[in-house]
Amino acid sequence: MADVTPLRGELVRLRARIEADVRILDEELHDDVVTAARGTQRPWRPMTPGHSSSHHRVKEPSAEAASFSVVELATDTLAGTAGLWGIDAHNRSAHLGLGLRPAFRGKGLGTDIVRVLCHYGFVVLGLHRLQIDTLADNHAMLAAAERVGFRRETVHRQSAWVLGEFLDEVVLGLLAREHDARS
Amino acid sequence: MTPLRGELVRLRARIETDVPVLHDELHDDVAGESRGSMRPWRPIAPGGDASPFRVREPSQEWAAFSVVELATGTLAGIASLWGIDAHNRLAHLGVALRPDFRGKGLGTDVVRVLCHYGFVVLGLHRLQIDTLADNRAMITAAERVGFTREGTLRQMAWVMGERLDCVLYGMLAGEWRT
Repeated sequence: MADVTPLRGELVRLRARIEADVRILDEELHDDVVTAARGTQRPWRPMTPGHSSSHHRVKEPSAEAASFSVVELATDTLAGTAGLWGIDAHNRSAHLGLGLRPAFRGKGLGTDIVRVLCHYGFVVLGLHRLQIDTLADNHAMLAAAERVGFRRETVHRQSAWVLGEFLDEVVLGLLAREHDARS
Repeated sequence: MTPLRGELVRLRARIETDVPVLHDELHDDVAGESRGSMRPWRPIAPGGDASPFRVREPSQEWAAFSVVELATGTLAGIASLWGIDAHNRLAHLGVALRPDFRGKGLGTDVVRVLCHYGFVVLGLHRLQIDTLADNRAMITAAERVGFTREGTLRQMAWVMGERLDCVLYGMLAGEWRT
């Protein structure tokens, strides 16, 4: 079937989650305790890969969240997860998140994913504001956000319990008109 | 016997007789409710199960109080912790006063009592206040109690025809003086 999605950047495309993705994402993202604890900010718990409670399971479409799988264009391989969450139709805002499989980190895919998610949020959904909530020491996410034009807006001091310590979180925001001016 | 008492107010559980008063004076103030809730205002019948001020089952995620003015023994408004997060040991704090009880310094006292509840009773590590950037009353109360301004979320809220900024205030348990 022809791929007609516009959700494509220079290095990646985004598509719906499929069943074959779930076990890979559970094993490489959930079972990496450090990364999972840093990314979810919930208490990490053991979970059988592919279990119905998986954070990465195939879900019904929702008005509040859009969950994508990321495919690297060069290899046509599953590279990670990406999505909008907390989609708020009244305030026309959403939060943006992503997680890459270990072998796909450090290759610049994150910036490309953030760009494609912005296209989805601002152009497809018509949102007014997107924000990224991340740990203050997550340099990969901060670099990706700032390359795309997000601005640092708040530092939530010691708002996240991560593996034995309270860490700061940063919120970065991008408005539709700022996105339009860059694209 | 409750320790949830300041100099001007005390906090107690919501009771049925509070609900119609709060519904009439807070929910039916369309502009005020739109500013406070950051959700689209909708008509809701007073006394129904949909009232935002209904008496609810206790929850791990929030604590909903009614505020009583000590001087008169009268219901003065609502106060709550919401988004209580036992893992990250944080919660958000909210206050809304009936029109006749505004401008009397009750807000600052309510914030102090909520801090006591959050830090001392619940053992939380961090409390935060999320409010509109032009909400002088809430910002004044937060700053008087010692919250630190941590940033501004630009054009975060759609309120009655315009996009408004939200400001974020935070306090850590170590900064709280009992």
